Amino acid sequence: MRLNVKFSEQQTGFNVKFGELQTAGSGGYEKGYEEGYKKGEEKGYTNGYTEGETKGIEQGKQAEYDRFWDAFQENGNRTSYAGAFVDYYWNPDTLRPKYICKVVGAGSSMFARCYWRNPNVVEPMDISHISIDVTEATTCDQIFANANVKSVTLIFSDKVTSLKYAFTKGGGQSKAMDNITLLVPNPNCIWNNAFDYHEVTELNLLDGTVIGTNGFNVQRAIGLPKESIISIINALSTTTSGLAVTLSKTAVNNAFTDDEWGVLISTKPNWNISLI
Amino acid sequence: MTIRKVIYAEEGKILTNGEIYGKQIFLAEGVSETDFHEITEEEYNEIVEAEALTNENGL
Repeated sequence: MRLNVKFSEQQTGFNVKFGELQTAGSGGYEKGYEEGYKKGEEKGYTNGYTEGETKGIEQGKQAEYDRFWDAFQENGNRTSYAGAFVDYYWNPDTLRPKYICKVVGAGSSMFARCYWRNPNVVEPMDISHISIDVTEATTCDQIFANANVKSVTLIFSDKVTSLKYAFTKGGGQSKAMDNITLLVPNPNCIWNNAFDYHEVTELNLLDGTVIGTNGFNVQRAIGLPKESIISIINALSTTTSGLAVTLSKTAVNNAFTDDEWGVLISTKPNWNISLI
Repeated sequence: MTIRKVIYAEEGKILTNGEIYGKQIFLAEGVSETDFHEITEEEYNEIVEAEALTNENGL
């Protein structure tokens, strides 16, 4: 049997239309791809550059920080810090040691006359971020002499032998420190002129501190609180004789009643206690 | 409680035995007030300034 077969025009039109759709779709895809690629490339480049630049700058800064402080502190092995931070060559952004400042031997003048370099910045320097290890230190004369520093805590061992002019305000050019906290276990440590002209707000001598040579003078600290004065009296050696501790008369009168004062100083009958 | 001997300087004066200086001094055991004499405050200030940190004795 012969079959008559006719293809409908619709079928043909459909095929033609289908062909057109295919062509148009292909063109759109390619065009879209190209455009997307180009725009993506531009954006990626821009964002990548910006992000890369920012990270690069930070990495560069870190690299320079490391390079300077690795050299200055001998990769953490430096132990001689006498005069290390003397004078006004620093600012808050730069005085940021990488390693603990471990002083072995002399630490004299370590921060003597240390101010912020910017003369418009007169506020005392906050060095609380700096770790200072003085457990192996011996002579620390003038360690903070005439420095414009806010506060400091120094824990010495019995190796420390001299703190002459350690916190003096020699020329009266820098502001008084808010707080000085010290442990000085060596009774033979010299304190000569350690607090000359210094109106330190708080001075705390930690338990274990023993003052036994040359006396102790903090007469300019007119606002010294009761706790500070008690810590000083408690630190006075019980075995020496003929020495004197000199305190501000104003500070003592403000901090103690006569009876309280009498009780306190009765613990150190071997000391002359001078008020000025 | 042991009673301590206290010595007082006249107004405008400072007591001293050559090493200890003060306007009011609670004497240690065994220390006599006869060891002390008075100087003027100006004289005392001169002594203090002479001991102040200078370029000659430090940074």
